[in-house]
Amino acid sequence: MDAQPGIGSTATSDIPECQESEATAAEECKRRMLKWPNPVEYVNNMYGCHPGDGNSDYFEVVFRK
Amino acid sequence: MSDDASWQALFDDWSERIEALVREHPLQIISWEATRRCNLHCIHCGSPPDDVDLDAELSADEVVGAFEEIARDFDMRQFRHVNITGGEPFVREDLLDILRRISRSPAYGNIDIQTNGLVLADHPELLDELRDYGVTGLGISIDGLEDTHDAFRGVRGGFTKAFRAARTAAERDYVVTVSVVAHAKNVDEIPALFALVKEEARPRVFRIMTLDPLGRAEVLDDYLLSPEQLRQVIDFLKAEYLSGCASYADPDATMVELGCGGWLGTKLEGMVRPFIFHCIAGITNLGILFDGKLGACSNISRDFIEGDLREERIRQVWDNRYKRYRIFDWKRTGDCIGCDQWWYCHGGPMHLKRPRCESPHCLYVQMAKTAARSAVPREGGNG
Repeated sequence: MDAQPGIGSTATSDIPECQESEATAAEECKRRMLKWPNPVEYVNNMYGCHPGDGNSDYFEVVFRK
Repeated sequence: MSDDASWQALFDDWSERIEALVREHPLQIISWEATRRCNLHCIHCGSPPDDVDLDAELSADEVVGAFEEIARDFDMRQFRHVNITGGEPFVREDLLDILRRISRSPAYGNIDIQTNGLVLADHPELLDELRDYGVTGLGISIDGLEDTHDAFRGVRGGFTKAFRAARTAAERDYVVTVSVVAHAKNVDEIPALFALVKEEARPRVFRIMTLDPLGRAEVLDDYLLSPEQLRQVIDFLKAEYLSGCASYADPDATMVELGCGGWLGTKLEGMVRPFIFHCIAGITNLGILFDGKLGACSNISRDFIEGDLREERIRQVWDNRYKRYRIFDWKRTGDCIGCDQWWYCHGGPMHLKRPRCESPHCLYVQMAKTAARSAVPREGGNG
């Protein structure tokens, strides 16, 4: 449906003001989201927005650099 | 292995874990519709008081009894949080008493409330008390810049109060989500609204929900987003998400996200919000409606009520019913037939469903329409 090649990738040319490095970093975060043990961890908490705790914290793991 | 194959393997594994979750349906979230009453009259309300018996509202004792029953009957080890919706929860004068009583249970120490912010703006001292009762998150609705919000919500000064409530709650370290319902009349204001909110209210999340044809909005054709306007919203989210997501581990960062309006396809999922979406209604999410009926989210059609806590044990209903939430085949009609995304989205969110009709508003199909108009080929098969 998009002008993007491949099942999971995102072409930077399709993203306004997006740098290639930003898209690459986001793809790595996306991989981590897909691997998170509970596939709806964030959705369960989306209004409270604080999934996980301690070392298993979703944000620490998914968005770490 | 090609990059495409690598992504497909990840999505397929994710989908298998979704299917396992559906089979096990562990209770992880309770959505309690505290009331259908409200101190606003929003023209787009998805769960209005118009067509229900408001006198049937659960008493405080009934609500507390239900939460205690759940804590006794269910395995709460996987439980995550309580989400309180309405109506406007703060019009219940006994809300704090209920929170005080249910938060005695260690299972209910993570509670959030969806509100229009009017009461909190006038009574910021409530924020101190709410924290004592396990409230950690607040979702506050702001539907455009001042004139747009006030016109949409039907109260002059509503924007100022909602904004003040969001800012005060964020300053006091609540996890604040500012939610905006995107529609045809406010879509052009969203970037300016985001800039203002991010700079001055500093919430954890700036969420965009697309206006769905539900409740009062069912007759608001002029307000529904066109496919091109939806693309505009998605492009905005995508640009903001990609430029900001590297900082999202920082709890002071403001994240953007598209709410639970539907599946966007394997390419866009995880690129416009900090999660991969799947509807959790009836899978991990039990809904207690204002009158004790058992469903899931309050904006799901009452045609999908599965039981009544005044008459039945909640655990019995959860274990033995909810088939329409957990067996997806009945949803595979219309555009879903032959769709290459079916094995990931399973027909999309329940709040867009009716017992015998096709999904009226699939985001993936809407996005495909804009791509088709631009002569861009549709995504290849994954399923």
